[in-house]
Amino acid sequence: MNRAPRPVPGCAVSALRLSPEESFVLSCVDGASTVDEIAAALGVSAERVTVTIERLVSVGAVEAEARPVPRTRSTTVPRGDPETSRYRHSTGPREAASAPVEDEQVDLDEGRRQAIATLHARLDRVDYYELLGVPYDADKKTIKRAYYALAPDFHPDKFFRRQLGSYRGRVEAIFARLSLALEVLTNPDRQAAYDAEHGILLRRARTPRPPAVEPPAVAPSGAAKTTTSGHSAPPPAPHRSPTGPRHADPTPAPRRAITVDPMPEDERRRLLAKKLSSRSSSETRPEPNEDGPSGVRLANDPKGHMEALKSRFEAAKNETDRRQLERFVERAKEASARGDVVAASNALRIAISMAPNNEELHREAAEMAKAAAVSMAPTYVQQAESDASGNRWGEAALAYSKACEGRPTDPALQDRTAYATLRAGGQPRRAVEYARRAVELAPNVPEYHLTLARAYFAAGLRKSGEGEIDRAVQLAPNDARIRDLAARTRESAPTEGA
Amino acid sequence: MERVIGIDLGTTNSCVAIVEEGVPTVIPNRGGYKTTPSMVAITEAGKRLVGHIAKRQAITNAENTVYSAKRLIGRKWSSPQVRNAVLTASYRIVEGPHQDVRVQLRDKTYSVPEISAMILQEMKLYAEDYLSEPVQKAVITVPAYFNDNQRQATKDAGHIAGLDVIRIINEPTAAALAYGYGKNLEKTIAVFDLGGGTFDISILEIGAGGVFKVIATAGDTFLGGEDFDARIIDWLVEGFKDQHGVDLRQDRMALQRLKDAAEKAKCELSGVTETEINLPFIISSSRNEALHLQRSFTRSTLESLCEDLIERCVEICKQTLEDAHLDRDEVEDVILVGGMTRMPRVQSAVAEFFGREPSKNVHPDEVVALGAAVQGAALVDDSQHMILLDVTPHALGIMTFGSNFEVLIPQNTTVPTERSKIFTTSRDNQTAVKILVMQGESEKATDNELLGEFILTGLRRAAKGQVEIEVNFEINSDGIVSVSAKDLETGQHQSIQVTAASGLTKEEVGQMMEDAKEYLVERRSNDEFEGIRQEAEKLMAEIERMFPQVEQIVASSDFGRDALGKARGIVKKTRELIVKKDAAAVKEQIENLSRTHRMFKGVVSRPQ
Repeated sequence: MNRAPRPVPGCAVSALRLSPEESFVLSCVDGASTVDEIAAALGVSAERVTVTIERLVSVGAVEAEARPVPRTRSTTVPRGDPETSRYRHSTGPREAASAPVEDEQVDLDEGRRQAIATLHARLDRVDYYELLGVPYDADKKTIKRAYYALAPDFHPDKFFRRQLGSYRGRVEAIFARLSLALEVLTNPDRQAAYDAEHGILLRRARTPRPPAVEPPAVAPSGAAKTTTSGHSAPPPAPHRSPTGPRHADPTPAPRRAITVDPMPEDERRRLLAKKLSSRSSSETRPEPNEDGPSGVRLANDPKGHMEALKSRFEAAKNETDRRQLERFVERAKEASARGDVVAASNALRIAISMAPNNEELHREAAEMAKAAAVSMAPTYVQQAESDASGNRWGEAALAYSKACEGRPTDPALQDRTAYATLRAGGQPRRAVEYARRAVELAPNVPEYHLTLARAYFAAGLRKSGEGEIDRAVQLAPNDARIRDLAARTRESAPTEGA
Repeated sequence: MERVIGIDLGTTNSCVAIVEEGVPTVIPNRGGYKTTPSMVAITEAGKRLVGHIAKRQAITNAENTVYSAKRLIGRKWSSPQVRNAVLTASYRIVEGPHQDVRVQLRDKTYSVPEISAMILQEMKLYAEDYLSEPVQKAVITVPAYFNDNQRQATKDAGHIAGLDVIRIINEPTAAALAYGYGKNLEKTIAVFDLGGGTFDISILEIGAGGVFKVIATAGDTFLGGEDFDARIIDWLVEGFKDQHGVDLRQDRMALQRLKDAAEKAKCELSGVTETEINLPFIISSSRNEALHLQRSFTRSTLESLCEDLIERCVEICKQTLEDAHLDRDEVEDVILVGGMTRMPRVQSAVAEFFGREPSKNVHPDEVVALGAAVQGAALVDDSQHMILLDVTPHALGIMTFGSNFEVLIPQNTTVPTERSKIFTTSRDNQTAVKILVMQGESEKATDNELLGEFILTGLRRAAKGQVEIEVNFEINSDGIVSVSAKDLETGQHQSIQVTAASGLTKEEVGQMMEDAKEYLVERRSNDEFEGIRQEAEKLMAEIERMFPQVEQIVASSDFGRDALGKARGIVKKTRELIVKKDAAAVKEQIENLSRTHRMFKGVVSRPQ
């Protein structure tokens, strides 16, 4: 499957009603990654990716064959995040804008024009640290210095009342991005959120060295653009692979798709090289066991085609796959040995997708996943709190629920998750589950009962809700605050329960 | 290269400066003063007076003398500040055609930008006198906390005055530029600017290589020296009422005298601890006897009258530091700007709050104009290595469901900038959304200033929350705000450029510009005539002084008598022409006068 599908420009993706898996595959389609690369990124077989892509082609979201295109990703929309503004309006497609317009009448010397065009073209490919040219562990002062050294050259006042043509928009875009980078990186809360979102925490720990000065030559395969779907239905990221965004994508992956990249760059490259070299011998890999919803979803595909594909990959079950499996298991062991449980867990998850019948592997993976969840929990809590304080309840709910996986016995966290889920709206049943767990874990906290009541109301379970309110009041009969809260919760009953 | 002047258009005083061979210099006015009162008056004869001469006649012509026009500029007629000014001002404030504010002077109404333009025009003339060349370009300063409408109105004033306003910058920022100019500093400073009408606080970081980055800015556009004066006036009026049972507020002239006395006493108390307020014959009692106001006024009384005003300033400082995520001790220097910072209690409050003595290196009345000149030079002159990274002083956003204010560009964001956010519909089957662009800090949209609005139509019919609309805000380098909204599904979009409402239409500004030009021509010819007249008068005075002596010497000859008659004729004719104000004819007569003068001189000096 040596071809790179690409997204159809301007396709209204959110109207297509895609399954989570389809959305996920689509999010990896960038016109540059081949099917194999996407498959590796998602940790599923190339066949399965192919099938999904066929479906995406049939609905008009993807073009099957793409000419070789430069490794630039089109931008997509972040959801409700003011920090991720981009410059689509001012400059149109990045590719077009980044090519210097030679015949334009511009009052700038050649060097300046080059500098502006180059930096502008890089804007969406580098993270804020790379943009400012500072190490990942740079302190506030270093960051500021770097900004002061760089930003003035791109302030429009440097070109006051000069003829700049298309360069004016680019200069302003560069300046605005530099300022945003400074703003984010010098504000501890926002920096933490940004780092979490772009997997910089781990990178800092691993490689606090200054980032490469030259633009990254090879964009990461399968770098997530963004998943697109309504807030009500976050895709359950089934096989979020280790090859997540490496160079932080300026179109930041949405918060819900946080993936920490556990695989060192060179290893990932080796894997890719290996895969490419082995492509001839094993063009496709088998999909031993279908466990996703795609089989059902894809029912409208031409049946013959499906069968042809299936027979092809079943026939091609081979060694490479097993070798890969071994390597992932090996990697998991290594990672676990150096204490990186997250990496280990990710590696095992991929391994399972290759050998779903290996029970021992399952057990190990489950254990590792648990350990990983525990170790990730603080990050998720941090993430969730920052989302919550920014009123991004959908993201907060998701991050909280992730944190809950690591701390299933923390009633406060369960309660908080329930609350965030409620605020996010759309999934009252899930909110009920979390709230109920909180109450089970700590039956004597009236606030938890109230949250549960609220969740019941949201789910339309009026009676149960009122029961919970009564229980809350019983628990703290003399607490005015609780009474007040209870009254307010009760008020919410008709509207939320309607 | 064209010169750019910097103008500090203050509430009570204005100042103009320029960078001369790398040195920022204040340009003195015709009276030799470095600052000029921001006052405009129309005399009974319809003559316009600006500056010191307007101030000098303010008491006798209180109803036709405008002061503190800056407090009204760019404000709506309905705003509380204007309501308040209507009640307290000695001149008449009336409603304009666009809910704006106009000032009635004699039989004509003037818009506030026109009044400010008169002051700007005067400053422009001073600069042209000083430089002996026409001046077009100017950087004008405004309080940091001015909103877009007020800024636009100030720009309009500049246009009316015939200036190309290349930039409007914030006063505290300007002060910082003057402070750090050419010093290659690397530090964080606070500028505490308490002027005649406004209070501003800005925190700036000065980086190596002449980078000035504003970190945070805040203020209050109705907190300044005039409020201190008002407290003193209240105190005097109340005291007088207790003593004589007469309300001085009823008499506009008395009020104007009180105002002057209060301001003077306040200034004096910066140097001494006690002063006397003495206003004889301030008003007549009901029994027609003259009443005098005489009170001693101490510094501590002043401080107790104004303590809460100073506290308000400190409170704003505190908030600003918090917004900037800075501790007090991270501020490495504090600059005081504005005449009010001469008050010892203000200085000590600042020192207490920041835990350090404020810098005495800058002149509080001149530093803002100097900074404006510095910015002007930096913009047009590539050899000037200075760049100012300014921020937007107010948050920008849109009104969302339930009249909440959703911020897209927060306060203190470095400009130019661009931010976007996704919104959804709030009702089922909603096919259009109205985007209300607002500016302000309140969470309730209705408390903020509405800048503009537009409607995005053609949305897909769907349940509420299903349709996604991306709203994008952009502030470009000229400070112009553009807003666009896009339906992410259909790609439909709508956008506007928010044009601030100064209260005047383009046509009006154009007309006012013409009027101002006419005035300038008239004034120029007046100036010219005045010069010629003075020259002629001087010659005539000389001639008349020598006359008796010459008569004695030459009266014996016919020739001499003839010459004397001719000389008398020339002087008489010149006098007539001067009365007629015929500049050209007087100029011709100067030739004859100087010939006569030479002749007389020759006669007188000839040895007998």
